[in-house]
Amino acid sequence: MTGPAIQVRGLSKRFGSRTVIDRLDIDFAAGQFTVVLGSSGCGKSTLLRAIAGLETVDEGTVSIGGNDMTRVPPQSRGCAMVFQNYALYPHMTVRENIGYALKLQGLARHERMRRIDEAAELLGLAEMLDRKPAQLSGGQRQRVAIGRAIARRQRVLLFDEPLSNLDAKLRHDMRVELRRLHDEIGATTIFVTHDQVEAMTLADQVVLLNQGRVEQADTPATLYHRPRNLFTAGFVGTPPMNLLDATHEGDRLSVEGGGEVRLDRRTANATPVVLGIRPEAVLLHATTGMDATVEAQEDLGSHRVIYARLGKQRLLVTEHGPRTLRPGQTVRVGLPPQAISLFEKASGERIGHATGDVPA
Amino acid sequence: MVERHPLLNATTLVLLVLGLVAALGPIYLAVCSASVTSHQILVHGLALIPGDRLWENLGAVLHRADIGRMLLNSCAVSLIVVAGKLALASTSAFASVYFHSRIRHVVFWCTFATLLLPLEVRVVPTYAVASDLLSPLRTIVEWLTGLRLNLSINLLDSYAGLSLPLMASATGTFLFRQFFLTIPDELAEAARMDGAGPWRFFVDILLPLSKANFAALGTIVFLATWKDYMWPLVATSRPEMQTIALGTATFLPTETGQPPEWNLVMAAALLALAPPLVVIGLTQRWFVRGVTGVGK
Amino acid sequence: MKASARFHGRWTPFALGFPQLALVALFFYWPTLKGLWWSFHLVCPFGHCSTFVGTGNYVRELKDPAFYASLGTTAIFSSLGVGLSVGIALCLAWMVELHQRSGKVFRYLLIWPYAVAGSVLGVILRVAANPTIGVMGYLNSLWPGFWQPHLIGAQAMAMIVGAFAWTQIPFNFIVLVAALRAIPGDYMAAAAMDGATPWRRFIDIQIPLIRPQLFFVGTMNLIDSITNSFALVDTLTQGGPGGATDILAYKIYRDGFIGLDLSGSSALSMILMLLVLAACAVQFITAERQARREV
Repeated sequence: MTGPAIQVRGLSKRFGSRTVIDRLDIDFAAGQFTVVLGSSGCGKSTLLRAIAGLETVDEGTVSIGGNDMTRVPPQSRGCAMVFQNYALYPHMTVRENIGYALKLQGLARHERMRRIDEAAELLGLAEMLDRKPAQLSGGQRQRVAIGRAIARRQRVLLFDEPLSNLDAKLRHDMRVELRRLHDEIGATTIFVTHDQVEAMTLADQVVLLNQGRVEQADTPATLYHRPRNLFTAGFVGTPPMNLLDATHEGDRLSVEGGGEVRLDRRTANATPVVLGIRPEAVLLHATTGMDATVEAQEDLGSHRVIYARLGKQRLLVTEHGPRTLRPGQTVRVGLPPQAISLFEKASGERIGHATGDVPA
Repeated sequence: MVERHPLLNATTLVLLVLGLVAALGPIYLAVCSASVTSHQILVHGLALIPGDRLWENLGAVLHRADIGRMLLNSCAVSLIVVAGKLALASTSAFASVYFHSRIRHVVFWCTFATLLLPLEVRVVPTYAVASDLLSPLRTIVEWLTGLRLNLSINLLDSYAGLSLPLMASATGTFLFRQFFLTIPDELAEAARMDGAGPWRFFVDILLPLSKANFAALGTIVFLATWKDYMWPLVATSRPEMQTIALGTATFLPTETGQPPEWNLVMAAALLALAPPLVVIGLTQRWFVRGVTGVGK
Repeated sequence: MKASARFHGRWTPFALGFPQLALVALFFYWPTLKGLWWSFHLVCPFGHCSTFVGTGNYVRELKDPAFYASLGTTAIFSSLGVGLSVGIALCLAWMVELHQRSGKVFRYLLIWPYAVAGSVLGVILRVAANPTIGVMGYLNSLWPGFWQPHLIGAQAMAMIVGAFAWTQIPFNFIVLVAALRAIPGDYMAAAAMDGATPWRRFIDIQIPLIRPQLFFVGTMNLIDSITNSFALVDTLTQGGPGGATDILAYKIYRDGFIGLDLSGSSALSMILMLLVLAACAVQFITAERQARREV
């Protein structure tokens, strides 16, 4: 029952002179939950719609389960889609909405009813099958839209920012539910969003898009801990990764406006680099390190975000446990070498993890 | 609004009542004069309070001329135009919005141009076409092949002739086009993903969603057709094909002849205005929506 | 609209649009072309023979004093009729907006005249405005000869202007009430807080905000006054007395159907069409400019 693998090869899409998607190659593994992440206008929705067949492409191919689907009309690709505004037919009841595609397929009535009930059962919609969309709450409409997709038993489910119209609490519940559904039905799922929390929590694989190109496609953990370039490093994570200008010479890394860190890696010549380190990896009140000045802090209940300064550069640090700092105070911070990512200053590409692999 | 000033309230009320008197006055006068004897009007002038002979006068009018037939004609023509226009407007608007084909521009702009030249302005040549429907065909065939065809169809004095030219306008197409453009694109996309082709989408999704627009357009098209005067005037010559808006005028006294029976004239006028009045009274919501949506 | 919301197919849209196109071709384009053709030819009364005369028909019409008289009559009739119908409708719409308690009743009743066809109103007015038995008959018995629309051109004109306004007001009223109601209540509340009286709010806030709709009803009325006033004239005055109400639409009908002068009537139609086109163009350009200003 696992869904098919999807390959996108050399896909380009232009609207007029604007290139929205630029020669994309992406593999969506069979039965996996892939989140396509990116800010608005990065081409992620266009990619999804090209896979669905709603958008024609200028170059490249889309194949689903090994079959070239590039010129196949949407209803024959074996995909179901959940739209951002749900696109429920307003004049039809929940039952009719879920069953409409089945009716068009010419399915017998009892089979149709069986599948509708099954989908409703799975989504907790059994009570409201005879209501119209206008009588439902946002979360319920969302579930109907998903129900419409899964009742067709398509092996590919496409989601176009489906949670963005829900409030924060509901979004959290729906995330959990979507992941459970995916594990239950095993379809190949592609989920487009600009919300990195959704990406981190839902995905088996995250594809980070920027201006029509893939910046990185990896598991959420790899994306977070081993960003391949400065774009990924700056995009993923809240608060974002600290990116500090530094110079690498020999085995020393000297941070502008701060002190030095000793690395395992060596260079022959002095090279300008960017040092990346997650706020939670920075050590406060370290015995060795560099001095930073506290400017402000935000208390988020479970932890605090400290806004500090290293010379002219800003450094964010998260602090757990009791509060120890006041604005204006100087604190010694330590940058553990194993938590440091290094990027080439000119190209923005990752030079390699300072040491070792992704922390467990 | 925010404040309640007694003087302001009184002034607005007075003006509104004046407006209402002016608006309903002619209808009221018609009711009054239609309910008295002819003699009373000729001697005492226009009746200002209703009399007791309304039903007799209405009965007399229905007897006197073919008013019943005229009412029937008006109903038939109005309903034909409503049905025809709703069908044409919805399908042509669908064609002009929901397709990739270039034809959608052709449909839209060719229809759009009809707004520029109302029937009243092109009444003489339209009459010529209605009296000889195949003349365009003949002219084109002769022009292309040099053959003279001996075919002709005369639509004058027929329901087709009375209704078809009134359908050839853009207003309905516009109403539906505007409405279709407000429907979220995702609905069409969802239908495509569900496997619906254009016809299924039109029948299963678009038509049910357009119910209110059908009602609104239907109401104002019915009223406009019922009230039309000029086209029935030129397109009919036989009294039994006249519509009521036209037939009422034939009740007016000619210069010579017996003393005019003003009470019967007014009774005929009442019969002509009652059905549209009922339509407005009963379908106010659709009617107002139609007026604000289409224009007229 | 997104391209992906559209369907493919060559014949389906054609089949859907064809009935409308065929009807429009037959009853709009063909007659319009025919009228244009006639206007450049001298056509005999029943249209079966013709000689090309170039702009001869236009020259003939443009040299005819009757044309200018009719044009002047149309101008007076249209400007007075449009001004009166828009002005009264605006006033009534404002009153309804102000008097919210009973506004609903008036909103319901004031649109009833929409049911009355121009010809039917003409018939009613033939009685109601009759110099001997009508409402004005009472004035005539006080001042004999005061009200004689069949003899005094200005009175005949006043009568059809009033009647025209009466038939147009419900439409204007509906559109303007809808426009006034669409103004967010916050604006009015804010103006009231700023100390604006109802009159100042009307002048400073409501009228500027409903200007597009005011312009819209004005243009619609104008086009209607040029084209659609035929029924009133035909039933009330037949263009008289002495051509005082002989508006162009009536003259076209008279020349074409009674005078059987197809060429002259067609040339007049074309001239009238240009007037309507000009009115439409002004409406369109102004609406565009307004839309652009709001963006």
